[in-house]
Amino acid sequence: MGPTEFRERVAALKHDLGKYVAWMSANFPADAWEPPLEDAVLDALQRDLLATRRRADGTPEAAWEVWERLSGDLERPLADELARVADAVSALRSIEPSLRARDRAALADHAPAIQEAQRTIRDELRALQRRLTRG
Amino acid sequence: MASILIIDDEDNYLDLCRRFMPEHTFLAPARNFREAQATLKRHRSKVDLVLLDVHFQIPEEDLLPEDKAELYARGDRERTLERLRRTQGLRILDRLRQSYPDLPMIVMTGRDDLPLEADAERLRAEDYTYLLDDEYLDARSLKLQIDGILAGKDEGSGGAAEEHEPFYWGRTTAMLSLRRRLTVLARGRLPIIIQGATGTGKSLLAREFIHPRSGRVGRFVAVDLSTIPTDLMAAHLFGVTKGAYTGATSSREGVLERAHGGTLFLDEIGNLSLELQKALLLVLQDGAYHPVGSVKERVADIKLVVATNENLAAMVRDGRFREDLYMRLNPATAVTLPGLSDRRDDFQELLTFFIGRVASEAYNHDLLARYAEQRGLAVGEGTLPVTVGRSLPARADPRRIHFLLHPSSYNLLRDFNWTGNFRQFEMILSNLVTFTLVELVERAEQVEPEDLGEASRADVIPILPKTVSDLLRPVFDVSDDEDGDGRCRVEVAIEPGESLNAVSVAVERQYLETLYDRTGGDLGEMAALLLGEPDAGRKIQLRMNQIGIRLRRLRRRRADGAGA
Repeated sequence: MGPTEFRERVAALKHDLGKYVAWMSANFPADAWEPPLEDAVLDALQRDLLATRRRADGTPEAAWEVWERLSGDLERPLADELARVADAVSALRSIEPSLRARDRAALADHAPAIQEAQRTIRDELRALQRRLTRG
Repeated sequence: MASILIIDDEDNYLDLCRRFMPEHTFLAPARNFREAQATLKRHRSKVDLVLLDVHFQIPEEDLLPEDKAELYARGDRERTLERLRRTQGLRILDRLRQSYPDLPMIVMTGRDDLPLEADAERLRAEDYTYLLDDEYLDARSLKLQIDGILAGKDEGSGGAAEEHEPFYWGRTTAMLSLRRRLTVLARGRLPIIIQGATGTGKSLLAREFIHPRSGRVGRFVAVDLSTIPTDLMAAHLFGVTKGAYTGATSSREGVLERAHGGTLFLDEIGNLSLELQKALLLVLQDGAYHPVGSVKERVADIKLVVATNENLAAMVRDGRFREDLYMRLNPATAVTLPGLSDRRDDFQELLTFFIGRVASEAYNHDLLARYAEQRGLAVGEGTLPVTVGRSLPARADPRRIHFLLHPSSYNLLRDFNWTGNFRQFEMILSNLVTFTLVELVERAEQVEPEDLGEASRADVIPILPKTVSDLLRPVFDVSDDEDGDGRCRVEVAIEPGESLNAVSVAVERQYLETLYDRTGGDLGEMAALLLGEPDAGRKIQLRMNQIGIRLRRLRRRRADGAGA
């Protein structure tokens, strides 16, 4: 993959994953994450992580599926920033069962880790894009 | 509460905005350019702001540009499509800006996410286009940005002093939108095309609105190309050097030179010959030209405003106007000025504006000063402000004069078919003010306003209904029904006069004389035609005397004509 194509791929990751991985959930105040988790936060988390994007046929695409789609063919080892994104995506994927089950207690327990993973994905993709853009 | 249109192929923004900004109304989102255009066409006046996404994962046929062949020819089709999708919002923005230059739009991306640095610079430089401060959208910061833009918009449309200036605009949404559009166009470097029927204010706008807002320090120079003989037009526009042709006894600067650094207004641009169209095209392309007979190149830094009441696009089709010049004139942003009869919602504003203008004409100004002195009004150093309306101001105010129209007169003026638009309107108002003031000033002791009972209010000047109907009637009724439409026409020759009143009187003289001839000198018939009163021949005679028509001369002329 050439540099231009790689830059475009990172831009796509930043848009499809970075932008939408915390689209709704990042807007709730800290106390909304306290147990018991509010319905609105739960809905937002499900949307952001289980339906981060939608495929052409309308089916939801989870955050880890978006990551896989856009990073699967990238050369290994990944750039440092992308390696940290990969770890954060794995952390999010680990709570998939709780999310699908709407397990409020478990999700509330994991709230700091979820938010941290979301922040990492956003920050690292932004940093990588800036590094590539500014040479 | 604002009304916001979201242009996005998904519901992400809509969901976010509805949840975190419930105070605003969000229209049904437009999924592509076509839908956005259709929505704005229907609801432009209702839309305060547009949120525009950049990435559109939409079918190929919905993507701009419509014709992608050239793009496909450059490389891999799938990759081209992917790029088009990821930058589609910018193409939508460009296309919408052609029709809505002043519609506030937030492009939902940050500077870092724009595909090219050039895009970021361009978007940052554009008025009414905003980028996100942070590409990772946060509802709170978006809300702050929206509220800031809307507050600025409100301030700009309702709070700024210049928005309240009466000028020409009125208060209807359509005209305020036109005003904002022209404000944007005035600041830009591109030419402006103003279209509209005669008398709709094209030159007024160029001189009093566009030029002052252009930020240019040079002069405003206006040229009516319909009044310049074809063979002199080149010299008039580009200047001429001594000896360039027989009769060019001295070098003379052209209007391009006089307008250098300022604004050049070319009225009736359709009258420009094809040859001069090419020369003007070079000015627009290269910013340079040669005076007639000169090899020395001159630089022209002008803001060009052109006006026409012809259809330039049709002239291009007919081969009468160069297409390349037409395209250079920025036709996508051409503005069309409505006629007065289409602006009844703004009638009061326009009445106030034009009464103010005609009251400041030298003759009327003197009459007003004399009136104010007679009535003990507070005339200071300047001019007394003038207002007009169909109702009486609640309180007397010796620091202004209010012209009071009878409601029927107000309606008559408002509903009149102003074929000559604002020019005709201003002329009639000038006459109204003059005749009313002359009557009051010269016969101050005999003032008995009919039925209005406002004689005791020195600050109120009633305009008699009859004065209004007298002035409008000739325009209605001077007819032989030549066209079988209940009216017919009298041709009059209009020449510049020292005041509008002088021009108006000259016109009146012509039609009264024509009517005199047509009725065989029968003043009773003229009175029936003009006033609906066959017994009012004496009034006609007085009027003719008043404006300098000598009946004896007309009778002699008729006799000579009969004898010839």
